[in-house]
Amino acid sequence: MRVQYTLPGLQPRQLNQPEIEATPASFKSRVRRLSQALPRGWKHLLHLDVTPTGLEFIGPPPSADDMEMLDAETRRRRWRELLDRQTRLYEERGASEEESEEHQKARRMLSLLLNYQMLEDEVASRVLAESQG
Amino acid sequence: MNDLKDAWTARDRSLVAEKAYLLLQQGRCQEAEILLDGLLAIDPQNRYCRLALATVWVAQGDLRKAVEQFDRLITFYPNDIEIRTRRCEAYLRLNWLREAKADLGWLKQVTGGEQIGRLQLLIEVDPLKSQE
Repeated sequence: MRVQYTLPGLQPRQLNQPEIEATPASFKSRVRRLSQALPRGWKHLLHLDVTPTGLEFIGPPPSADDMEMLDAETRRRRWRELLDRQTRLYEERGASEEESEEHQKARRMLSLLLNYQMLEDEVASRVLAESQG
Repeated sequence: MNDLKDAWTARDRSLVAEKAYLLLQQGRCQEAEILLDGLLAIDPQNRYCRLALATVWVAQGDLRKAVEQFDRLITFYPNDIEIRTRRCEAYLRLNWLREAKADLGWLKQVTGGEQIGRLQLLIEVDPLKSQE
């Protein structure tokens, strides 16, 4: 049995080897050339950025406007604002027996998200307490 | 229903959809289902959420429910190649050959991508299926 010890994306022949120059190049041009020869990233090399084909797989959702650029702090703030606003709206509306199926599903979703928020707050407060000794 | 869509902005829905995707990636299908159900209650024509919900059903082994989601999607997006491809594959797994071949025929007419070759192979790989 033949064992393949290398990963297809990392075959040495696939890397762009800089050609040996006849005349010595300047340091600046060497750095520029080397930076051009660098692979675009290991995830790209190993095709890990490609969503596999098939029923079991789905890629990430399309991002709204600036979502991809958000740092963790801004993202947390947006979550908090979202949940505060939605909770307020549901409290204003109040519980009604005639709530439609759609409203029930949205309420269920909000409950789950609030649970996540509570868990995250607990973890954050524990980390803070531990860091303060 | 419109008041729900007004209350949940596109940005809100995007954040929740991202969360649902992460849960799905972690195999937490029931939680992902709750979020996706909620998002679809707000916006029933959301293509991504319905596809993701179908993926949840596939992960839970309920291909019929996945097909229901694809059927609904096709009513909204009749010319969507990805949805047809996924439904064709679901039909194949359910062994619904007639329906699968109908979708494959449609796909052959509109596209010649690698998806067609893959589905064709899936049909041919099973001797019982290729005999039909």
